Amino acid sequence: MDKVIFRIKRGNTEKWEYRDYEVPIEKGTTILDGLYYIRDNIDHTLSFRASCRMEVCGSCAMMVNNFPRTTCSTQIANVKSDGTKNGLKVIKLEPLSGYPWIRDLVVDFDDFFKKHESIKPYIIRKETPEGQLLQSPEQLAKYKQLTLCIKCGACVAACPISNSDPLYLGPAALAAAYRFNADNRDEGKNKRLAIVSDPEGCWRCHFSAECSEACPKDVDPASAIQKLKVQAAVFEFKRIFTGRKDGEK
Amino acid sequence: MGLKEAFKNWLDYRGRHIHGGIAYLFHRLTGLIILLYLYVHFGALSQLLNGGESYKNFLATVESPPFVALDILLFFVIFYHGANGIRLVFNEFGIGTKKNKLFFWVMMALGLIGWLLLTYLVATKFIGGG
Amino acid sequence: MEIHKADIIILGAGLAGLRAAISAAETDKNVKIAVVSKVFFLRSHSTAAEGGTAAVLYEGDSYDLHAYDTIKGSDYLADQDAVETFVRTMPKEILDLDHWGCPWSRLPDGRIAQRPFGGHSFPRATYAADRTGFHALHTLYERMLTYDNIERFQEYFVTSILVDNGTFNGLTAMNMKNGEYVIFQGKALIIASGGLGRLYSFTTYSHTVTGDGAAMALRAGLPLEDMEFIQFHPTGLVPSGILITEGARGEGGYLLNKDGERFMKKYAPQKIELAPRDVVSRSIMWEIQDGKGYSGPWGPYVYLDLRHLGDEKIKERLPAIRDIALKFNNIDPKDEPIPVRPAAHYTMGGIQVGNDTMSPIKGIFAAGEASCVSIHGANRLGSNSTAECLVFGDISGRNATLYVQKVSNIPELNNEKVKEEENWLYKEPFKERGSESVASLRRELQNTMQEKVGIFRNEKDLMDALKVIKNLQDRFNNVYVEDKNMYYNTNLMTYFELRNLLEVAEVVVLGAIARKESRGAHYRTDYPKRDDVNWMKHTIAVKRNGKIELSYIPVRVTKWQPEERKY
Repeated sequence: MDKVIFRIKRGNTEKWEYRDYEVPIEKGTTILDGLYYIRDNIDHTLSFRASCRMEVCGSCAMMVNNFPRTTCSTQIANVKSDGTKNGLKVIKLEPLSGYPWIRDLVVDFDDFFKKHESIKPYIIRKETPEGQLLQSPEQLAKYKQLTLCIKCGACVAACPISNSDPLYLGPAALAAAYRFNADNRDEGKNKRLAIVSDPEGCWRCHFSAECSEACPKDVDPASAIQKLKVQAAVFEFKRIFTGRKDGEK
Repeated sequence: MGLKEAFKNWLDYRGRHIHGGIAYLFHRLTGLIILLYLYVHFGALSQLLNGGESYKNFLATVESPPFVALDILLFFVIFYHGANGIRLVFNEFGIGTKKNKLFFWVMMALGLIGWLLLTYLVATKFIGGG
Repeated sequence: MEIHKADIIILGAGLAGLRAAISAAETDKNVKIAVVSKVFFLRSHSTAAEGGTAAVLYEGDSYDLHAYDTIKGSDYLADQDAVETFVRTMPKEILDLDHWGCPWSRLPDGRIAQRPFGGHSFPRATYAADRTGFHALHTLYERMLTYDNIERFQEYFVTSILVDNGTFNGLTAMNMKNGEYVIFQGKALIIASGGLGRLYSFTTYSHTVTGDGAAMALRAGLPLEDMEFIQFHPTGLVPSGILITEGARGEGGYLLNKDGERFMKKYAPQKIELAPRDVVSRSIMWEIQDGKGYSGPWGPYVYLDLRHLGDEKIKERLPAIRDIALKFNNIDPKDEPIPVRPAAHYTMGGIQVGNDTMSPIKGIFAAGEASCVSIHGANRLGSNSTAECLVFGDISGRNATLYVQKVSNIPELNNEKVKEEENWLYKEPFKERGSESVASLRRELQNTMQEKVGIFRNEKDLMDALKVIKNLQDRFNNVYVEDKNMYYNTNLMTYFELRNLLEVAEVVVLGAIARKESRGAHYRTDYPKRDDVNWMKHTIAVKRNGKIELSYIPVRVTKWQPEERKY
């Protein structure tokens, strides 16, 4: 039976260390399978988040060899080695970069969800009719890819700006803002642009595009943020003449 | 997050892609270098204030091979920043964001060609004599 | 100690819980609502639902037809008055989600699209590609953010439901982040904590679905209804158990045995692959028993073939399935068929509630998979569960609000019980004893349930299973939590979850032993026929003095008399 070594960062900011665990693997074993194996059989004190194991809930993101990935959908065979020990491949696991560290592989997600909430991620309309709000397949296609975001936080962990500027809204929140701006059922574009067109909003992005590399669902937040910038630029130009803070006429 | 930690994270290239976070880091660093060079350039130009004769002597120094070599390195920095910058200008208008890797390497190729051309021109002018 | 007060407390934040919160906030904007979950709301298991949400929207469909399909699908155990309310409320829920931003898949003219689904005689499954539950959950979460009277408590593990003088008294919980003891006080409680599928080893459920709400309800004296009915979804991906939606068959996928035959033609000549889930699951197992299944390192399986659908249709209608097959099995559905086997998927049973979602205890409501109204009877039709969560989440939110408007004060806490629970929580799990681990007991429980309380049941297997469960309940006293660090102590959480699993497993098995007939998902090889004379009734299980007592109540019939169930 094949084996690999999981090198896991254990502890918290006051006291921490890397601990090595030997994990048996077979074809298709994922990193999450390995983590459960360790917690069930070797070390009950290992803490990590996981739920659906099918890459739809967003719980299990962490740094795998310095890059954020959702561990439930990452097969061990597809991860390059981060060194070897006793001839076995080593995979380094650390908590998501740029988030406050709670313990072991668990980080604090409160700020992440707060930022998402701050950009008004819901349909804003003056009036709603009784029946269906019509939307053609072409209109749906405009924002559909962005609805796939599972809020795993990998994009924020990959972003060099999120990692050095805690006030930056981050790729997840900005992509969500564009998702609603691009939905023909929504009428709140200006309200949202008033929030994201900010030094710590979309203008803080300089397209390093690591967020899109990290995203397990191919949401491509990097492209969404650039499109958001175009909307924001037009919005700012118009605002010169209207002068209103919230962007309403 | 303290300033020291922020700076360390900003520089942390581990896990980053060449056409992604590494390109971004180099763009920032080359930008800083170009900014610093701007001051050097003003310093050089200000030698004019010392009169034509003094300026001619100054030029003789800065047109000597070791300084030309430094200039060629500077062109490398400028071509990187310019080529990558053109890509970023298009990207931030929403153009070419889905083909980032290809776009980056095409611009790098163009930048490399531009730099080699300029190096050839400068080297032949200053080393060939003139 | 943290103390939080609200008018309505909602336990569980999946489709039913969030829909209830929205409904309550809409009914009265001064009502204070607290939603509590042991995971971040967007991680709730509702997110894994894929195929669709049934509703009567268009010409050619009718409420009576949807009701009939549901009742026939339930093998005539569903309460028909509840089903009639359910089908009439559903269309509004679809429109609500549309207004709130759900990316429903569309027809070319811009109207919401629907597709065929197992057991439905009209294509009425409204879908958002093959991630319907995911999109619905996110839409509800985003809509919930617009109300300022809903407070969120995420990653709080609730450990008991307090009842005093036959009325809801509060909840005890632990803040997972720092291990602090937490009390929730309120006038009403809506239990929307989902099912209990992690009783089984091969299941489509998330790791977090451990029947916590059902176990706490049982301990608090609430009755559980029809717990022996566990649905096995025909197409769980081998070996992970990940759900492959019924929508794949709805779009035209075939089920093939070892000889490449569409074997469902034998068992359901009319509906073939789109027969209800209990029929298809049994058919697959019969094929495997007859030696017509494939065998591999992870057990036997059959194939779900999507190759004839073509790459484009797969990418448009079943993108998540394609993604799952690629990422987890390295298979591209346009080139290779997908290995599947029936997996534990849904709990038809739950906390007994009336059509108004009220339980027998004053102030406690229940909605969604955690409840049993009963809409699904002995077998649930696909796309009816996400629908049930929306309808009864809506109804429970509204009714709970109307209830609390008539209650003047939040009930005083029974401080004795609060102290008792605190002492137990912080001392008992850590007492060093024995050498058994949570993981080994849980594994044994899951394997036993899988082998002996699965799709085909018989007296001997069920009695053996009961023995094992009782033995495990004893051995649970030898388990202790090694991890003493109270910050995000997952070792402790798994201990609580195992306690809950062991509690509900007993109810499932006792109900199965008692029910000497086959109906819907409960199939006994020693009593293979449906017995409407003796068994057209619901099982009610209550825990009294530490023992589980079973009783029965009749099924409520309105229009449809039981017939032979053929597809």
